[in-house]
Amino acid sequence: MSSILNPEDRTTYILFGDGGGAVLIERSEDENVGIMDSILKMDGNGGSSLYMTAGGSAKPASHETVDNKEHYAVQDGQTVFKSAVVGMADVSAEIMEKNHLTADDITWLVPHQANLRIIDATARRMGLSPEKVMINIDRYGNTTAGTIPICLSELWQQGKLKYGDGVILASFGAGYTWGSIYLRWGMK
Amino acid sequence: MPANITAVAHYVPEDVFPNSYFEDKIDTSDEWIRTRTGIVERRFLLNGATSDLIVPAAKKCLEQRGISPQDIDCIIVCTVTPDNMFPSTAATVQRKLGLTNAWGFDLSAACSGFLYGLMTASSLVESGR
Repeated sequence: MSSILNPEDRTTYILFGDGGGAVLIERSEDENVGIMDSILKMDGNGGSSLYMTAGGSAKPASHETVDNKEHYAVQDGQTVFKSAVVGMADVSAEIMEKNHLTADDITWLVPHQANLRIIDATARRMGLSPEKVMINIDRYGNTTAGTIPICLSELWQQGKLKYGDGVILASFGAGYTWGSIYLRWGMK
Repeated sequence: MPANITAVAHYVPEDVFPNSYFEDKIDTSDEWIRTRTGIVERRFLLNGATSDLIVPAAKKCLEQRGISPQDIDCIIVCTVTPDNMFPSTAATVQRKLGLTNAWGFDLSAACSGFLYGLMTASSLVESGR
C-alpha cells in the first residue's frame, strides 16, 4: 500500500501499512466446518470517496499526472467513515440473522482493521463483548486486503482458534465494496 | 462439502514506523493518530513489491499443509497495488513459487479483497472443477 501513499497527505499517509496474508482453500472433509455463508456487496457510487486518479485508462500516466501527484490514494475520510460504520455493522448483523446466530455462537469477529471506532460499532451491533474481537490495527495500521488474513494467522499462531469455532469476517473498502463471511474454523 | 481454510500464514516487512515518525513531516501527532484510529505503528516495505509480501506467506502455507508447489490448482491475489499493471501478480507469484500446475488471476476489491477472494476461491473449490 505504501507505493500509492502521498507522504504529504496527512489524511492517508498515517492510516496505511504494508503486509500480506495467505490462506489455502480446499474442500472440507467435515460438513460442520468451513465457509458456511457469505454476503458481499458493492456500491459504485462510493468510487468518488476513495480512489486513485491516474495510471488507468481513464487518465494514463503522464508528466502532468506525476507533477499533480495523481498516482496516490485519495480519501474523503469523513464520508468513507460514515458509510463504513453503517455498512460493516449492518452486513455483520445481517449474516447473523440469516444464519440464526446469536453472540454465543460466535467465538471471534475478525474485522477489517481500518479504524477502531468502525470495529467497535460493528461489535456492538452484533452484541459481541470486546474480548471476542480480533484487533491488531495498533501494530500494522490498515494493510487493505491484508488485514483479515494477518489477523487469522496471528489468532491461529497464538492458539486462539479452535476446530469448530464460529468466526465472522467483515470488511468495508473502496468501491465501495463490503461484506461479511460466516465460517466454522476447520484447522486442527 | 463446504470449502475450508486448511492453512493460514502472514508476512509483514521488518521496518517499523511508529506514529512519532510522521510528527516532523506532516501536521499530525502520536496522540491524534492513536485516539482517532487506534494505530500505534505500521510496517512499510522499503525494497520490493507486493509479491515479496505474498511469497513468504504462501510458502509458509505450503509448509504448514505439507504439500508441494505442484499441488496448487489456482492462485488468487487480492490487491490494489499489483507488482505491475500486467502481467498479473498471480503470474509473478506462480513463477516465484514454482506453482507450475496453477492458473490464477488478480482480484481488485480494495479493503474487501480478502472476502471477495475467499468467496471466489470457495466457489471454485465447491464447484469441483
